[in-house]
Order: sequence, then structure tokens, then C-alpha cells
Amino acid sequence: MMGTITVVISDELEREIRRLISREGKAKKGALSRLVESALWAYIRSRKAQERVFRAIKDGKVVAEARSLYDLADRLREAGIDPRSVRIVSSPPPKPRRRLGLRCGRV
Amino acid sequence: MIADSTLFLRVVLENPLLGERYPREGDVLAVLDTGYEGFLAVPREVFDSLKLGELITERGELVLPNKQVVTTHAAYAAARIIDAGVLVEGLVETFEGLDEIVAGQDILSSLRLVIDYCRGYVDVAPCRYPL
Repeated sequence: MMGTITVVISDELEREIRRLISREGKAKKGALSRLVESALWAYIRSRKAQERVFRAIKDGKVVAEARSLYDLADRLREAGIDPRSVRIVSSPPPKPRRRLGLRCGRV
Repeated sequence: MIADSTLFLRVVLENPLLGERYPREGDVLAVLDTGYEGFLAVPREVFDSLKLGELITERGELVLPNKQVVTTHAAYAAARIIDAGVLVEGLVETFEGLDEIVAGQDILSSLRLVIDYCRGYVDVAPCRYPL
């Protein structure tokens, strides 16, 4: 199944898109639709990557979960749980080993 | 802002879980370090002032440019980016010997920065989609 949507974009963006398709030798029927679909999926992926969830874990169980630390703090307070007693993790997690920039090279 | 050729962000750090803030009044400058893959690295006294050490901290590793590996203590906290009017959350870490607040890629990924060294100014704004 394929849906049809009508969108309005600037002349400048349209020129750039058409130039890109033409330059890559993909100026066939449906090329514009494929490019728009690819771009929208890339956008959705980037948004999903930015969706973060914080979880509070106590005795191996998730006792609270929220999209922000402030909401997590509220939920812990409502549940009467001391924030000091829980381990907080985020999903996606940060890299376990991170590089520092040259700024801190002297440490 | 640019000071002495170095890029800084004006920030207020917050620990939402224990209701602490650093500094207590006003804001503080964080050095922008695009080579730092984390969120925020802070001196021990800042970490303690936010009471992040009272939470269950994570241990992490940072690799210095000279390949030396240092162990960090880290906890989740928030940073209010004053010039962008945005609040971002992430892992704040500390390690021995650090004497300034360093903002890394995890903070920068939420911001649109326009750096104009010619005029000596930086425009900071939150990300808007589509970019």
C-alpha cells in the first residue's frame, strides 16, 4: 500500500532536490517519492534516537520510569522512595567509555 | 560567548532528584569541548555541591588525548542552557584533577550553534526540526 500526500515546499528546496536527483542519475519516475520517503525515515530515526527514558531501579526492579529526571523525581516522591536508594539508568545508555577532547589533555 | 578565544556556554546545573542547583544564584560558564563525547564533566566540588555523590553513581571511563584512561563517577542531572532557553538532561561526571566545567557532544546535540569568530560572538539556540 502506498499513500499519497501533498506538501508545499520552497522553490529553493525543490530546486536542490531535483538537482540532487539529476546529479545522481536517478531522474526516473518515482525518484522524488523515493527520496522523500528515505528522508522522512531518516528524520523519524533521528527523532526516535532522541527519545530517552529514565528508569529508577531498586533491588533489581524498575520502580519508576519517566522521560525526564524531573518527572522521575515526582514519581519517586509520590511512591515515597528516596532517590538515594535507587540506581538510575537511561535508555539509550551513554557510551561506557568516552573520549575527552584536547581541552582536558593536561589532566 | 567567546572569551580569550575559547567558547563557553552559560549554564545552570540542577539535580532534580534532590532539588539542588549550581551555582546557588546566577549562572556559570562551561567550556565547549567538541572532542568530549559525554554530556558534562565537572570538578569534584561542583559534583558535591549538587549532591550528586549522594545518589548511586555510575563508574565510567574517559580516554584522554594521550590515551590515558581515567575513571569517573557519574550521575544523571540537568543543565539549563541560558542563552538557548533550553533544559537538557544527561550524565554528569567528575574525575580527579578536573578544574573546569566542560560541556561535550551530548549537550551540543541539542543545540544549534553559530560561531562567528570574526565578530566574536556565538548564537545559541535549541534544535528545531527539520534542521
